[in-house]
Amino acid sequence: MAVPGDISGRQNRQGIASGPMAVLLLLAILAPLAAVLAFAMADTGGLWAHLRATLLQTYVVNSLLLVSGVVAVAAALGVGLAWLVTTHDFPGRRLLEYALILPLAMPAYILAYAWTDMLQVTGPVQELLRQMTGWSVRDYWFPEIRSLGGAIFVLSLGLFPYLYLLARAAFTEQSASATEAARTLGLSHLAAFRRVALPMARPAIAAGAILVGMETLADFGAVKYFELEVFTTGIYRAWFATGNPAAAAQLASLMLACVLLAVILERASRQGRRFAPVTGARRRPARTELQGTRAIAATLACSMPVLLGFFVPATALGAMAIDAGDVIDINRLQALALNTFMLGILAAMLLVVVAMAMAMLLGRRDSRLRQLARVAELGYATPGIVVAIGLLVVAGTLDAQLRTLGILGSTGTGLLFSGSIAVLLYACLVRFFAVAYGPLDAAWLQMGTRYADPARTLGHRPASIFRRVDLPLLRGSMAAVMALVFVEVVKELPATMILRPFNFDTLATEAFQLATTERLDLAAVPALAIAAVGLVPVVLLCLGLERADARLSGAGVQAR
Amino acid sequence: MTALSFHAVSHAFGRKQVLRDFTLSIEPGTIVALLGASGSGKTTALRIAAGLEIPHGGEVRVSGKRVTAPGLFVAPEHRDVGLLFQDLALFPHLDVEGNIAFGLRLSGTARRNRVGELLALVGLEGMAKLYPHQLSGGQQQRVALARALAPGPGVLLLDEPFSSLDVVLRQQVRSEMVGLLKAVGTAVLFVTHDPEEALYVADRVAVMAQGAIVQEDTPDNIWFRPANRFVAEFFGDTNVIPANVTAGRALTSLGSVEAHGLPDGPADMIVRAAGLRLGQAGGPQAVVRTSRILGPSAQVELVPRTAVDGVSCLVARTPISEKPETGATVSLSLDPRMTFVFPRAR
Repeated sequence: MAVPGDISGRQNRQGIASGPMAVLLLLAILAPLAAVLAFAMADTGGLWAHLRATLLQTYVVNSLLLVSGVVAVAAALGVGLAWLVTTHDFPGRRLLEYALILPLAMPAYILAYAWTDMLQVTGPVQELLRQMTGWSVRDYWFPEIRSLGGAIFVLSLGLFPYLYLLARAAFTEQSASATEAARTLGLSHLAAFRRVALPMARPAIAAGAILVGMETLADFGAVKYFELEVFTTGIYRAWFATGNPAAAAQLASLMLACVLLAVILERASRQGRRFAPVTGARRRPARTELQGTRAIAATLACSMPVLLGFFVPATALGAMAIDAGDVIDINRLQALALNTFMLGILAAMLLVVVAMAMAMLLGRRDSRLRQLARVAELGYATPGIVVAIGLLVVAGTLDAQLRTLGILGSTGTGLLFSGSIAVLLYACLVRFFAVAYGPLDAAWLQMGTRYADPARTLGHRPASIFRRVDLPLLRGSMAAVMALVFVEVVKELPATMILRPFNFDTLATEAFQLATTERLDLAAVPALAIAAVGLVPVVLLCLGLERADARLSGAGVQAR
Repeated sequence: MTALSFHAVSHAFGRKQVLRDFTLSIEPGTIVALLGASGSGKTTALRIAAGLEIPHGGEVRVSGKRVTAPGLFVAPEHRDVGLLFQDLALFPHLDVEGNIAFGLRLSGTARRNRVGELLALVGLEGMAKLYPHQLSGGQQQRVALARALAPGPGVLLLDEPFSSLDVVLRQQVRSEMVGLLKAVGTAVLFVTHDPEEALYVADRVAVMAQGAIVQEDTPDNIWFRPANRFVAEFFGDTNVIPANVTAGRALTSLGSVEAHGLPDGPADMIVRAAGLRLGQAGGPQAVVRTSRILGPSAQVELVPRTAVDGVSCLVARTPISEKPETGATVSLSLDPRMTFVFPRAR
């Protein structure tokens, strides 16, 4: 039927209303998060009051301490180092500028295992100390790594690169003339940073701080390993240890509220991000060349986080793996790698297909509905454990429905969805939808009707256009998205651990189980494998940054 | 049979009416220019013809067959219409051959032969395996034309086809393309905002304003016999001189011209810059204030010795060989073929 208007937005003329289909898909992606809220509301047993009276306060206080500690340390590191590398020159600066991103390859839980091995009583650091001083174990005080302070240490090391990246981009984007104007107006080097460069970068820094805070709040592996009582571990304990699903859902709802608040704050901070120079050629700020001890101090300051956040833990894991050489079960490792690979590939394919479907259902132009669909990206900000709880609720409900309908008989477990790979994949879909949808939808929209219109006037139907024009043009974005999702799934711990089918282990769950059962040496090999996979996108990011920087400094005039 | 016709087509974006009672026919083998300022609705008309936009009302026929009418819509892929896009929109992942062959329903030798034919037509033999980004702007233009012509459409639509080219290239590509289109003999509807281009390229020009056609005629008639004041003023520099009509003639101190059908009383005389002749003697005198080269002619600003019916500054265009010096005194007269009289504007 011919309804007046632009035909390009309407892909199918077979009567399938694409708008409502998109809404359904959106609801399916958000269902587990909604389930958490619904489940928490449904409780009437006064658990809430009980929870509030006892443990909630501990969780809130610990989580607050953890988040503020990590954000403070990561901000000091990230912003300070970004300023150092963008406005100064010192030995090793070119390499360190990119190497500072390397810690991103290490999930926090892997940093936690490695640093525990290094710093525990029997670890190399304390042993060296005892050898040097002749003290015995009881003669001295040594900071305990499995503590709040230890968690702040490993999480800051693993997460500061986010802040570093955003602050560095902000400093790089700033026009040299702003700082130069400040200098000609009589401000010292440091004062110009404090009064011009820093305020201009503030929106980016705020966004980075929120990101780091959210990642910290979402962490499960590291805090669980350190036995800290924070929100994520509290949810886990409520559901599995004390068998109190409603309390778990209530805690999870509180976390969801935090996530929503953070997302809104982040959006708001991005709204103000209009400090970049509006016109004129951008020049890279001239670098101050550091000399003597200052140069050495700068090199040290930049190399320490790289060493502590990447090379030292990687070496420690490598040494553990070699020590454990004899006990390592190669067959077991192969099976783990295969499981991990399979899960990663399946999730990557599922996400590309669903994200592409969503983009296509929303048409080739921006619309109100498309703006609304961004809500589906909420899952990425949601801690894995909250997503997992949501899926337990959804799968449990579905199974119960099937049982009452008599479809699942008395034989078997009576469970079809719970503990199946499908539920795990669903969790990946909810959690990582943003990773796939963000870039794919952007590429799709950028293409718009530019090639579809000529293809139609040349006699091709929408399906043929998709195959012959859209697909070939989007192949690059799809491959990139699949790689990103794959890496995320390989690193993911809490949802995989909670939702995996019986006897289905991945590298991450195996490493976690071995580490928590005091077999750190055996955890080293899977941990190293995860870090190796995680290294791929980080290295690609480094190369991409290097190329972008080369272009920028090539285009601008290098003033001195 | 008419190649493409619009009958009483209307369309709106939201509350903004972009086409109203839009009626136009294009005969086979003719090139029709749809000329209008941006926002006049010309591109929308083109998209409606191609089937990329469904209008609110009216009827569109391609080669006599109804393709858009109340309750009827033929999808773009089933219309016998080719469209050359403003930004060309060559498929970046396909080479020249792949782009040209995209709309062909042929395979094997037949397909290769057709592509070869088109490459020869647009003068790109030997470039079949190059990709769009390896071609110059003019070459890309020709590939896009070959792609649009490949399926042998009954009518070819061109959306500002030369706007992406720089000035020098534009003139060259334009004359090449006119020759080519004439050789192929396809009916062409092309959209432009450039009056000069419309007059140069088209057999017939349709001038649009606010979603409707205000005059449709040959370039000569559009230039020498504008139907209304809007069309007369659309083609650039004109002088507006208050006139007085008595017994079918409009009188000004520059002279008088016929004013058929206008009642006695005040009216406006529109004189094209090229219609204001500069002479040595006779007629009112004026001093040349500025005299500048503009393309192949000279643009002259004149200050009349004694104000011409209250007008204190006039503009004229002369052949460059007759370019006057600044400060010179010239005498003024009218070329009646480029002088028009319309009722006084309020």
